[in-house]
Order: sequence, then C-alpha cells, then structure tokens
Amino acid sequence: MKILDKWLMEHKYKIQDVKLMMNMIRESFLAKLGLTIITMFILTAIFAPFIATQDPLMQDLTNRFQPPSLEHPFGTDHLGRDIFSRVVYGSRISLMMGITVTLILFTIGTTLGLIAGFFGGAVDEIIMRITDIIMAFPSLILAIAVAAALGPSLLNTMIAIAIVGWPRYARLARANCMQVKNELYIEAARAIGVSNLRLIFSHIFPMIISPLIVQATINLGGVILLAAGLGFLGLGAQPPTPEWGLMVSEGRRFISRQWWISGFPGLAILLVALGFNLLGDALRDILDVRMRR
Amino acid sequence: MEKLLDVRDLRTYFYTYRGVVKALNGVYLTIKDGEVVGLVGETGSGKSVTARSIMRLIDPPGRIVGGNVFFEGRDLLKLSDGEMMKIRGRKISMIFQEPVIALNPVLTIRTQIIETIMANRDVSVNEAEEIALELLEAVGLPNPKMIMKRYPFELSGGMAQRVFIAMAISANPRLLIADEPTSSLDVTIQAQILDLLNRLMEEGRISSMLYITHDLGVAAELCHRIAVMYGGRVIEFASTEEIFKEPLHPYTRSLLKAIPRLGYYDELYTIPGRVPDLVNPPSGCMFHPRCPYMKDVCKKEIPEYVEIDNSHYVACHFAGVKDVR
Amino acid sequence: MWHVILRVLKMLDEDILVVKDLKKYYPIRGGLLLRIVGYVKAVDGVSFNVKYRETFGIVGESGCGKTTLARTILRLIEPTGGEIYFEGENILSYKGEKLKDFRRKAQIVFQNPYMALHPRKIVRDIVSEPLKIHTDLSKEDIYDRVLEMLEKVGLSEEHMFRYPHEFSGGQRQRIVIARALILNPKLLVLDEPTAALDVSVQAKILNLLKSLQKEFKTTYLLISHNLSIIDYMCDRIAVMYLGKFFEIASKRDLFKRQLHPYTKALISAIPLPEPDSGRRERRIILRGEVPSPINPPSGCYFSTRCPYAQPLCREEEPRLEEVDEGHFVACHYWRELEDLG
Repeated sequence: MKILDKWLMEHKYKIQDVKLMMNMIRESFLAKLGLTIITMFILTAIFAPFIATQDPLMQDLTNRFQPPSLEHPFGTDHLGRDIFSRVVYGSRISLMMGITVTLILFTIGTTLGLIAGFFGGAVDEIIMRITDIIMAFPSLILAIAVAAALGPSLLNTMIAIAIVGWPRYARLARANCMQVKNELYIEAARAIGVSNLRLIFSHIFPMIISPLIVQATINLGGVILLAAGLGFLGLGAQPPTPEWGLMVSEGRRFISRQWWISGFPGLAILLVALGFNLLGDALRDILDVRMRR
Repeated sequence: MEKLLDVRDLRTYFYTYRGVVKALNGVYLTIKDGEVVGLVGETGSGKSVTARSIMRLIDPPGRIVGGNVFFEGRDLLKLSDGEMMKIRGRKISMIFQEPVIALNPVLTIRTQIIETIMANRDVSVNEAEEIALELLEAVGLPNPKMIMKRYPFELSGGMAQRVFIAMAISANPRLLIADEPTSSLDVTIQAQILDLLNRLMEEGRISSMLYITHDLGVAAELCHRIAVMYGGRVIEFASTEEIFKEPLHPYTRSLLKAIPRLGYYDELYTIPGRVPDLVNPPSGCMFHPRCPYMKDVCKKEIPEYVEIDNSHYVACHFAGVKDVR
Repeated sequence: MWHVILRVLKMLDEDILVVKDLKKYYPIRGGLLLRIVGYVKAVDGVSFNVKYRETFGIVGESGCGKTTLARTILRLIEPTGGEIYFEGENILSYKGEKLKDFRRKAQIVFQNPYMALHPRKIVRDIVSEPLKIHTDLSKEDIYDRVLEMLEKVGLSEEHMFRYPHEFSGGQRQRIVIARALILNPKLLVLDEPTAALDVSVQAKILNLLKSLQKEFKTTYLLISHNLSIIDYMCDRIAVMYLGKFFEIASKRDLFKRQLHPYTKALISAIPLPEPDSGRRERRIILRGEVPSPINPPSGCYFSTRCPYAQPLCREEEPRLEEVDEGHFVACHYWRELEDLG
C-alpha cells in the first residue's frame, strides 16, 4: 500500500474529527464568537508590532489624558502613552503567561493526577491531601500570598498561579484515570504484559485527554484573569510593562473622569476571559458528541 | 379455532440520522387460544420490535407504518390510545429480559405489584394485597410476605423474574408476551422459570404466549409453533416439529446446523456473510447474499410469504426444494 | 538431540498447569472502624491439572467464581492462598522480568469483545503491542507479523487501520484472538469467548479457535456457562459451584456418567433443540437460589438445593476425590446416587 494511502487511513478519523469540530463550531453562535475573540487575541499578540500604532512605552507628557480619538483609539494615560498600543502589546504578555502557565499546570497536574489515580494507596493519599490543602484556599488569596512571598515580578506571578492551579487538573485527571483504569481494555493490556508506565501514558492518558483539554481551555481564561488580578495588585509585572491588570490598577485613580485608562485594558481582560470560556464550553459539547459516537 | 392474535404484514420503521431503519418489514404471526408461539431470530432480526409493536409501545423515531394486528378480532393499530391502554396489562401483558432493571428501583415490590393489580383490576388496596400474596406464592416464591418488603435490587435474577411474571398474570391476560425472559439467567434458573411457565399454562393462569428467544432449544421445548425472523421479516412459520425436522427456509436450516449440540463434534456449519443492514437492505430476498441456494430471481424479487403445506408458511422462492440437508 | 526428544516426550505427558488448593477471598469491611467482617470466597480451594495441548473446560453458572479463577491463574488477580505451577515453575514467586515472560506464554481472551480493545487505537497498534513489548523486531517485521495474524483470523490489511468501533462483535473477538495468539503462547485462557455473540457468529469463532489450536499447538483453558460449547470444544471438564469444583472428568465420562447431583441437574437443564425429546419431564429442577458466597452453607455447599441431601451433607464438606481414572467428584453419596440410576 502506498505510504500516503496508509497515512490517510491511519489519520482518517483525526481528519474527520477536525472536520466535525469545524462544523459544530460553525453551527454555534457562541462558539464562533469565542473562537473569533481568541483568534483576534492571538493574532494581535503575534502581530503586535504591526498593529500597535505607537511605542507602548513612550511617554508624552504634553498629551496626557487624551480621550479616545482617531489618533489614539483608546486615548492616552496619565503619562501620555497610547493606550491602544499598550493594550495590543499587553496581549503578548497575557498570552505568553496564559500559555506557559497552562502548559505547566497541565503537565504537573495531569502527571500527579494520573499517578494518584493509578497507584492509589499511600501515594494517592499524599497527593490528594496536598490538593486538599491548596484547594482549601481561595485561589486569588493564595496566589497573592505566594506572589507576595516570592516578590513582585511576572515570573513569580506565573509560579504563583501554577502552584495554585494544578490541583484542579490533578483531581480531574485522577478521577478520569480511576474510571478508565477499571475498563476491560486496560486489564487486557496488563494481561499482555504492558508495564505500568506504558499503561498510564499510552493507554489511559489518551482516554482522559478530552476533559483535560476542555479544562485547560476554560482555565486559560481564568489564568489570564488571575494574572491580571495579581498585576492589578501590583504583585505581577511592574511599571512600565503594559500588562493589562497593571494598567487597570494604574488607571484607578482617574476612573471617574478618564475612564478609558482602566476601561480598555479591563475590557480586554473581560473579552479574552469570555472568549476562552465560550470556546471551552463549545469544546466540551463537541467532545461529548465525539465520545458518544 | 378463532385466532387470538393475527399479525399481518406488520411494518415498523425507525427514522434515524443514518437513514430509515426498516426494523420490521413484513411480519406475519398467528396465535390461537392456548397456544405457545415462539419467535426466534438473532440480534437485529426484529423480535423485540415485533413485541413492542404489538403492544404499541413504539416511540419516536420509530413508527408503525403499516399492517394489521388483529387481537380478538379488533385491529390494535386502529384503536385509540385510551382503548389500547385498557388492553395493555389486562388482556395482553409482557415480561422482559432483565427483570431487575425493568422494575422500579426505588419502590418496594409491594408498591409495584399492588399498583399493577389495581391498575388492571377493580379492587381495593387490601384486596390487591391479598391477590399479590397469592400470586407471589403461585409463581413459586418461598416467602411472599418478605418478598413484598424488598426492593428489586435485593432480589436475584430468578426471583425478580418470578415477581415480574406474577405482575404480568395478575389480570389474567389472554396473551402473555415474553421477550427473552430467561436470556440473562443461569441455565438452572432458566429451567425453573420455564417449568413455572409451563405450570402456569397448565393451571390456566396463562392462556396463550408469544415467547421470544434466540435459543432454539428453549423454543423447541416450550412452543407449539415457531416463527423464524430474519432482517425484519418472518421467513418461516410452522409447527415446532416441522421447523426442526423439515425446515424449508435456507436460513432456518443454516441456523439449525450452526448450533453446537451435545455429542456432535464436527466443524460447525457457519453462515457466510453478515447480518443485513436494515437501512440499505439487499435487493430481493434479504438472505440472498448468504444463501447457499441463491439464484438470479432471489436478487431481484422479494419472496412472498405463502403457505406451502398445511399451516407451514415460508418466504422463499425455492421453499420445499429438497436439497442436501 | 536425545535430550530434546526426551523432553518433548515428557512434555506430551506432562501437565502445563498445576493448580493446588487455590483460594481468592475478598475481604468485606463494615462497621465504624471498617474492620473485616467477612469474606467473599470467590475461589475456595480449587485444585486441578491441565495437560499440554488439551482443552480443559470449566463450566458453572454466574457467581460460581470461574471468571475470578481464570484471572487468578494468570495473576491478573493475586490469589489469597494456594499454588500455581506453570510448566513446572511456581508462578506466584515471579516478579519483574519473569512475570513479564510469563505473560508472553499465557494469554487470555475476554468475554466482552466490545470493551476488550482500546477505543482510541487502531487495530495495527492493538495487535502489534505484544510484539513491541516482548520482542525487538523491526517495524517492518512487526507489520508483517500483524498482517499474517490478522489474515489467519479472517481479516485483511485494510482492517489494520481501523478503530474497534468500526467492527462487529464477531470481528472484534477475532482481533482479540489475534492479539492473544500473536506471540504463540503456550496457554490460552478463554473466558466465555462467545457469550456476547450471536449463534451464527459463535460458530465461526469456535471453528476458528479449534483450527488455530491445531496450528499453534496451544493449550486451552475454556470457561463457559454453556454446556454445549464446553462439550464441543473440551477434552476434560470441571464443574464449578460457589468457588469449588464439584466434579472433574473427561468429556465422554462427564456426559455419559455424571456423578455429582449438581452436574446431573446442570446437564438436564439444558434445553436441546429437539422437540418431543421428553427431556422436560425428566429434568431435575433445583430448588431455591444459589447461596451467597459471603455466607456459604455449612458442610457441602450444594446441600441447600440438592434433591438428595442427607444430614451428613450439612455437617461435613465432601472432598474432591478421584473415584475412577481421571474422574473426580466431591460428594458423600455419589455411589448411592449412581445405583439409583
């Protein structure tokens, strides 16, 4: 058989799945909205230098507090910087943080969850107690505590969010793992002599990946929100970095008259978080259908 | 003798996203008073759908699209919902394959059986309770009072099936439809239930029965006549003896040869091919792709269901052809 | 050269599997402190031998423990007590590499073909996995072996790239069989291999299993509740009830001459596709239900339902004894019952 034919057959279902996903997204308004927002967000982040009209760091004290106009679509802030450009560049930061943190959360959380779910016993107990402890605290408060302890910086924000966020993944991974572990095909694999490691990552993991991806997508929005929150509190990026949360915080003093300084970065945060939530919901619906097939 | 049940050319289709599934596409069946008729076939042949169609328990996306179901002379398919409800449970009742699941898990046996009795007979609660105890004893349950207090999940498969049978015969139905009632039970428990059904028939508590099964052995023991289904049609209908000794349809013959029998050790006969797709059935006779005697006409024309011998019905172009058995 | 021949000759007469007093108890915990309040005695002292290349059948109804027994023999479940010798070696002491090697030689086909294959893997990967784990053949060699195996079970190359849900029950079971036999194991345990399949498909699978056994010279351990299948496939048969063996005999002996009352009831309970055979009238109908494995009856486990139970039966548990060549029975009154006719 020709190599291309073989490849096509092997991946036939993945191709079909993607087509199915596209169709389903096309049919749901909310999904389309979410996807649009996210796409715009990602494109903005990637092409920031081409989209931003000015240097986000450049101050122009003669042009402070300009309301939104053609020249400054989002107005200027208290230091005369173009808010539009700052928001655009801020998307890079948010995206980078979001993706990095989510990847870390996903990896650590899934691995620990799989180990806990698969081996049970003492290992499970220990990991679960740790997740219990972390989840007992409201995430924002804990993140604040960690970030404050580590010192305010973008990196430390990411670490803080990672620490706070992995338990949810671990729990999800563990629950799914425990369910899948008892299925006949897993027992069949063990009967063949498959090692534990291979069982976990080659057999169990592919079965639990769907809910984890849904969780990750929804969470991305949450991560960005949390990062913005920490930035708002001054624990994240430091001025003059155009991080959205920080920008909202900086504009707080002027909110009654120069609402645009906090307003536009705030809107950006809102939209992006919303976009990821919508997309995550849509993904959940799609993956549900796929599983039922 | 008048026919108690006379099913003619029953058709039930399911309208699914994959297409129209012709689950029943020509079912003919007759049951006389006091008779046990077996409905035999493999998965997908349409046995359960037939039972549910007779009881008019077909929900969308399924619909009974044609045919007649004459019961005591009246066409059940033409009755109103209200009239049909009066027949269900009273004149025709049904027992199913998995009794523990079919019973309501959150109600005690007492509640369920009394509810059934009162729905189908005009009695008070106290009278119903007495009737219930009597029925539970009649079906061979050792401690009826205790059983009444139990919940379905506390009963074993065999016990639950007896409870179900008790409920089904509570209104003294003229026809009992049994849809694979022992398929999920162990063979010794199955023996008990079959023995019970026989006894109830002898005692007159069950008048006639339509017994659905994939197990030809059970059909041989219990039934006077057997209807064999394939691909949504009845393809042969005859007395039990004739089905086993003189089967006329190639599918029936193949089926009989494919069963492992005690003491028979040669290679089992296998029917080539696969079960027909009910959305895109084969042209002409549904069995033709797998039939050892297939000729051209089998691909083109659907064979008619005709009476070959005395009360021996077959749907095959070459029925009665004496060939190598 | 000679020692090879001698070894082969010895093997033909020897036992590939020796099971001694195997037990599997599941503890039941209850009360506030979750103490152990009892045991589910799924397998309660089972002993038997299986010879090379024979088909040994274990027949019993639901709850008798046969599935647990099958899994315990393969060490998919760890036994609570007893010994298991495979090819002369005590497999209960195996760890690590030796255990992995054991898995290569002893395989299992499960009852439910719909759930025995990984839903997200294509057939090629499913069937090649044993090769990947136990051998270091090249990718091309693996592909060829998988193809060869699939063709032997009646499938073709294009099936290799499909997912399990694209196949019917019978085809899936073939895939399971292909996977189980691809390493040419010495022992194949078959746990109700056709229970989930239709009659016509069942015939194909049974024929396939028989022909593969000839080709690969495998020993089969067949578990079923269906006596007709057991009769068709097996050379020797054990009858199981509530975790114990009541009778072991060759197929011919068992069907001609059942010694244990449960075996008699079991065989008489099968409805045969022979109308007017009179079997129904001669049938032994057992009273009551199978007792719970948590609280088995005292003495003989069958005493609560046995139509011939005597006082001794409630007091003393009968041991499984060889009463004729190769014919074992656990009943106090088997002689008297035989005389009854």
